[in-house]
Amino acid sequence: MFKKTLYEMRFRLTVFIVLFFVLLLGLIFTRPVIGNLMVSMDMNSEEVKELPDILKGFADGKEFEQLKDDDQFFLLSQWYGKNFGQFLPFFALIIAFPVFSRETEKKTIYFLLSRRNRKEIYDSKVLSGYYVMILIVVVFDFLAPVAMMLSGYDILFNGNLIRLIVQQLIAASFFYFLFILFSIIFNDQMKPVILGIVLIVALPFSSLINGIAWLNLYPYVFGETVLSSGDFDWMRSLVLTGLSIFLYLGGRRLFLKKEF
Amino acid sequence: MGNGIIDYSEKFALQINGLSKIYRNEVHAVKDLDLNIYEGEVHALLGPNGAGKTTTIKAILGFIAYEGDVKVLGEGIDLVRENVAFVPEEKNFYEFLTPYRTIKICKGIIPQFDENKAFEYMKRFSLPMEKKISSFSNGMKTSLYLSICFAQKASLYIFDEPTWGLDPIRNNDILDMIRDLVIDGKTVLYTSHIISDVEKIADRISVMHEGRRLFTGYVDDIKGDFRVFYLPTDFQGLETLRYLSGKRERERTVILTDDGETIERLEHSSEVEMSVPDMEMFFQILLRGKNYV
Repeated sequence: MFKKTLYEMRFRLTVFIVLFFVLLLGLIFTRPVIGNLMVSMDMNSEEVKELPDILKGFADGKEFEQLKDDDQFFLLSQWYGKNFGQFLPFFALIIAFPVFSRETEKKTIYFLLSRRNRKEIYDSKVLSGYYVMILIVVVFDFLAPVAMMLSGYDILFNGNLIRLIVQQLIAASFFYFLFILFSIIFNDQMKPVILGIVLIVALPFSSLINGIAWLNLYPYVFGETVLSSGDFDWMRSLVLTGLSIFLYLGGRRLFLKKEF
Repeated sequence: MGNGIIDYSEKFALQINGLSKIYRNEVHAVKDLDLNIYEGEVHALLGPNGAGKTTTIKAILGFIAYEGDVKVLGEGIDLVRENVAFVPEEKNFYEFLTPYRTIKICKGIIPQFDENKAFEYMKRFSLPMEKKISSFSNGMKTSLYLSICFAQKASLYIFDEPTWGLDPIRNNDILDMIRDLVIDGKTVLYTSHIISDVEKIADRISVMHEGRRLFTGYVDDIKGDFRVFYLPTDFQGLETLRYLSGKRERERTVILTDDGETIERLEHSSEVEMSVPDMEMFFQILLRGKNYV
């Protein structure tokens, strides 16, 4: 079943692997450009004053200074906190949404359902996709610092880097199991994709509303607390891990009861 | 009346008692169905669209929730799934695969899968081994699905419209292969709309209509035991006759019966015409008629 799942997702995987490689090359090649830009940027210039408020908040001087001199900060903020990090929920969606919905829509699910029991089908299909996703995330989470090190930048495998990687793995797992649930609930492929995209796009807006700002998972994915204070976000990590287990077991129960 | 003789000393491959299924849209697809299938027989499940055949198969295979009791090879389906091979009504297989890849993947999914046999069947059906299934015709897709099914070592084979999309020559090949399964001691449950196919391979048939089973019996008994009588509309004593199904046509009443007393009474009557029904006629009168006229 693992072989089949892998074979099914080979095109989607290839697209994302190529995309991540392009982003990685972009990260390495833009490092000197960004550094020089920061050096030449006058924080009191008219251009900086005219930046939107949201960027001014970022451009309070400290981050610009760090971006100019600190390769480690550049890696953490630009790769985990931007390039790779922002694609993680989409990557989880693209891997998860067709796992069951495609089989149900195309009616190929009958082939599996008639030959294997549902627990086996659920576990092998869900976990095959999960292992592949986690493997890709781990590879690119580690590849970026290695590639930057080999390119001559000053990078350390320190605690912050590991904390950020662990947070990204937890976040990716949560998104994956949530989108797997969508894939079970719907009998066609369009609805889980659309709902997933709406959710991913809507999440940042929740931070604009008092009371539900905690729903925005992006600060967690980008490692906001790790970058600002070096702290691992224990609370969110435990909640998201618990939710992932709940979603995995809930999805399993739903799949065992679903009529085809 | 109407049911084949059931020898309870024989083993059942499939036992269905009181099966009912109501879908969420309130459609009562199967109504209190009792059906037993002997080991080593080809049992054809017949009926028009919406009769409840596919729902019955889905219940047997555990695809849907239902009321009633279904035993497959004496157990609940999940305990014997490895011994059941199934070809669904829609022969959709993974379109991104080639037949060659299909065999390799099936080997990992189907517990008792004979890889060599699968190659052999696909070769016999002239399937291009390196072409993607997405480019296949309906007949080729059916042939591929059947190859996988025949290459699986199972005790019970369930075919839902297995000859869909096949040309007449391939159609006959498949019917022979299904018949061969029984010679090898397997059991076959088979649904079809094509009466002539059923006549060729089935030992027993069950006819379903609007979720109910109207008849179960041996194919050979239909010609041997049943008679069709055409009675004038003013025939006296119709209510005293015993028949399985009857219908009024323009100027006569047609009844289908295997009741010895009724046959004896009517076959010598000068005002009544009689014929021996073939499967097609049997099926038509059964479905279009009622058990009272």
